[in-house]
Amino acid sequence: MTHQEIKDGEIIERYVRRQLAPDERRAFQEHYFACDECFEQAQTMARFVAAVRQASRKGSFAENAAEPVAWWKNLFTPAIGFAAAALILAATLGWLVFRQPSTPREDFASQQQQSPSPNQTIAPDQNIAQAASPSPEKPEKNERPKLQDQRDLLAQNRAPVVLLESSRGAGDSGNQLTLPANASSAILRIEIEPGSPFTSFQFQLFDSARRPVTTVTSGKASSRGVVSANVPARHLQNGKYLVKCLGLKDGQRVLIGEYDLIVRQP
Amino acid sequence: MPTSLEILSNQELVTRIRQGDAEAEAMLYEKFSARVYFTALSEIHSKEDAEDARAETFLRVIQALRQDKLRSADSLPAFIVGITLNVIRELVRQKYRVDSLEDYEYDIAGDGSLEQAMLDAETGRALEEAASQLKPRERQFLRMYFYEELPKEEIARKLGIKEERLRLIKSRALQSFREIYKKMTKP
Repeated sequence: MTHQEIKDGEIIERYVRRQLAPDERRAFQEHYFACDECFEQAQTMARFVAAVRQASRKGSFAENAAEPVAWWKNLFTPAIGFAAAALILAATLGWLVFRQPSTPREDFASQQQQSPSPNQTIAPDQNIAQAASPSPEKPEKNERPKLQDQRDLLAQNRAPVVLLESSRGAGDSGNQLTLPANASSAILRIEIEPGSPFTSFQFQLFDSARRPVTTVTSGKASSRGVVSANVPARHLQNGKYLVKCLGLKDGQRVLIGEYDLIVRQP
Repeated sequence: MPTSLEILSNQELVTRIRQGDAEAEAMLYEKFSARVYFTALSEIHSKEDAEDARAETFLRVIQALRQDKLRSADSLPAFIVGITLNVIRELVRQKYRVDSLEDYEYDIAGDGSLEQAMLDAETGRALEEAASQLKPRERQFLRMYFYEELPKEEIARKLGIKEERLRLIKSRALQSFREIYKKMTKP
């Protein structure tokens, strides 16, 4: 494989995205074992693709996403905020602690001028206490937005679930999955007899033309006999699918069931 | 005796390993370790499995070289690739009960994804910085192309950008990411 072939065929990108035929894949692997430049490019491309996918999954590259800010810029905003708040607090405390106390004569004179009622006089130490303690009603500046961000992330990452049931007949509408636009994956579940002998399970997805889309392996069934598989959203476009579930034990695969699945994206 | 500062050719490495030179074996590991690990990671997307595969691969490679099983030193890279892929196949077959790498789907219930395998702290930050230099439509293109895996024609139509321009955006973003990542990871 020459460098020109690699460049013209976009081999590096297609290798990382698993779009090469097996013999092309092998040829490129043998090439980068001998070529430092191509190896470095392959590593960079792999990191880049992984980072884009993760950012996309988090919603950073969505249409209505906020402008991304370079990571180092984020360091300054809270730091400046904290520094400013600390400075103001220190200045306030300093003024309250170190201000010159009035002489009794001055106090008496000001009281004479204002003619206050005895009940309105506030002791100096009470002033300091009020100034030092923050108002209990006011929340911390960044607390609510931070919690909200975390809740938003959780909502985005919550995958829709569908419990697959075997088709009952011609009139049956099949299993339906509504996949939100921001979903990164969906969970397929089937129920099997509790105490099943299989050590793991495979979910094979086929499109409406019976072409294989993806295969996902799942671990043991739960104690209630539920088997789940997490399927990446990119494999679930609008349309009909056939899902085959196979049980695996001692190198043998046994077909457990076949399920129709209709995927809809709102 | 060679030192790690000397760069030995594949021929010299093979000859010295055949003679039982332990330092040459260490140099072989140093030369090909990252490639073996990356290959394993590309196939199985699990750091743990990739490390196991790397260890087993070098055991077999060194054993084979000591036993003079390599016909020509020129084919040393291909030889190591072959052993790497065999080790990976055996590992996958044993652990996940599939017959071939083509049958194997690495997204196992959300575990062992490409992203988890390839990402480190610097990668995420480098992309943030590179993406901050892109326009919103350009970022959307990256998402549609690499995450949703839509074809370029469809993306061009949806975003109202010419296909030739999409290639430029991709290459500029990648180049920017490469430079930023290099700066971040410079020793």
